[in-house]
Amino acid sequence: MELLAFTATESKTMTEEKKPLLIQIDGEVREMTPEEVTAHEEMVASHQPLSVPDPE
Amino acid sequence: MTYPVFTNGTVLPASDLNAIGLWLVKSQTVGSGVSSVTVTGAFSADYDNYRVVINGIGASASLGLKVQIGGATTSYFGNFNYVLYSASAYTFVPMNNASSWYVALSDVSAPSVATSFDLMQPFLSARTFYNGGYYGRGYTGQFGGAIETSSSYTSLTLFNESGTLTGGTISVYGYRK
Repeated sequence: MELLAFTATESKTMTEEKKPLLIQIDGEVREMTPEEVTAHEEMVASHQPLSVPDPE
Repeated sequence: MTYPVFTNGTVLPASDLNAIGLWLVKSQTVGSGVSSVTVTGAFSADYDNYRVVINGIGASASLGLKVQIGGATTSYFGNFNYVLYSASAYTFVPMNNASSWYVALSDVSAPSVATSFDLMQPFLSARTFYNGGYYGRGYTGQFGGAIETSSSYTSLTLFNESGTLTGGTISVYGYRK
């Protein structure tokens, strides 16, 4: 029986596209600039989030 | 003096208008899926003290709703607490040189969060104080604190501890001096 050889010429990894972060300043909503993303990530990373259970 | 009732065509004396103690400075609707919302021009020399009312806010994660005043990223001190509507034991959350203040617990379900607080002296080159109360996700609580700097601020930024905010309104009122 002849073995069929398959050669991968292209491989793709299925990844979830990261959604852009939106910033709202007054009535304007737009995508964050890289600097704003850095500042926002520092802002939310600076503490441990509250872990409060949902009421039963 | 008796509270004035205004009707169309009535002459409005300055004495009545100058007795109005609370004035809407700015109201901002929160957009959809925003990581943060900043209200600029909220604080000025017009007022020393303000009332901030936030309601109808939805969040992508049920965490803490936080506020930063102006560009301050440190020196937030105070305490925030919460107790379930059916319980009697409070949990206290210290804010000890934190990067922001808590103002409520956020809710990923149908928005059930309302919070309001007084904000004292944000525009003055002096300590900024806050104190208020909230109800969110079945919990209620109070909070108070100070930003231990002498900086002047003109804006506030609301955000969820992680994820995004959708909907609701942020209103800023000035207390007449």
